[in-house]
Amino acid sequence: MPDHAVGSGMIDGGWTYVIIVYVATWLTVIGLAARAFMLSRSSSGSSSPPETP
Amino acid sequence: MRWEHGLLALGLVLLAVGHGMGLFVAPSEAMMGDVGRILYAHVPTAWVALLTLTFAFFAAVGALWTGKYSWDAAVEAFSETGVVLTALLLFQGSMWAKPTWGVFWDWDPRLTTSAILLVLFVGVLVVRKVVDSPERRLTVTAIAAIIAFVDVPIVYFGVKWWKSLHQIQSNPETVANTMVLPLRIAAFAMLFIAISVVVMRWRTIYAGLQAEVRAPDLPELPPELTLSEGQAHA
Repeated sequence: MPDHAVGSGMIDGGWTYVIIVYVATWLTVIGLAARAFMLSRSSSGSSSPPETP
Repeated sequence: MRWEHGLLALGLVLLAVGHGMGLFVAPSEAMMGDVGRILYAHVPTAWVALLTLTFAFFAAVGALWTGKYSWDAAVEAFSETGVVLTALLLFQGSMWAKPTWGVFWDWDPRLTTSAILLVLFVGVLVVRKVVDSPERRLTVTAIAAIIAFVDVPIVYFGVKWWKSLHQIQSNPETVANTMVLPLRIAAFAMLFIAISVVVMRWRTIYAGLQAEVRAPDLPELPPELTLSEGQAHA
């Protein structure tokens, strides 16, 4: 970082990294929760007694 | 709807509020500028990842102590969630490192021990997949999780023990109030989300384990009773 940028809040392309981090965080959180939810639904469905003909 | 689904919804709402405040309300960091806003995503992920893996350790001790599959399921649920959060943590960290340190990665104590932590707990999950006997799996994975946990305090305290590029832990006295509030909200949000995910996964894994333990092992058929490929398709 150049000396004049220290303490000035100037980092080139700063927002790009911020946006990448927040998008990755939300994708991970939603993916983790959706997978857990779908697996719990399919598990509770398969544990119910089979339908009789 | 179960209670964990409500907790998940609350966590997602709080995460949106915490991240929104961190991005648009909190002041930019004095040294790093807007890049410092990564704090509100990175730090809560780190806290909750380490907490989740710590609970994997307690569940492993419970599994070894009691021999109950409910604890065994908890080891897997906590480890699985912790692994995803640790992987996310490392990604967030490298995205923060590039604009501030000039590199995506450095073999710094905090980063290296965090990467080792990820590898160790991936190992715990791999062990669970390769051991067939549920009883043996409980013992082996509990021991593996206890060994892997040894790295958690090293990750946390490593920045104090060794010279590190990574900063040491902050506290509310060293961070402005306008930055503490979004950080706390995002931290509770990640905690609620992690709890709900762990509970959902625990229910699924435990149900699977119960079915596996109850089902008797079927004896192998003698060769004369095994259908040939042609018969099977007929």
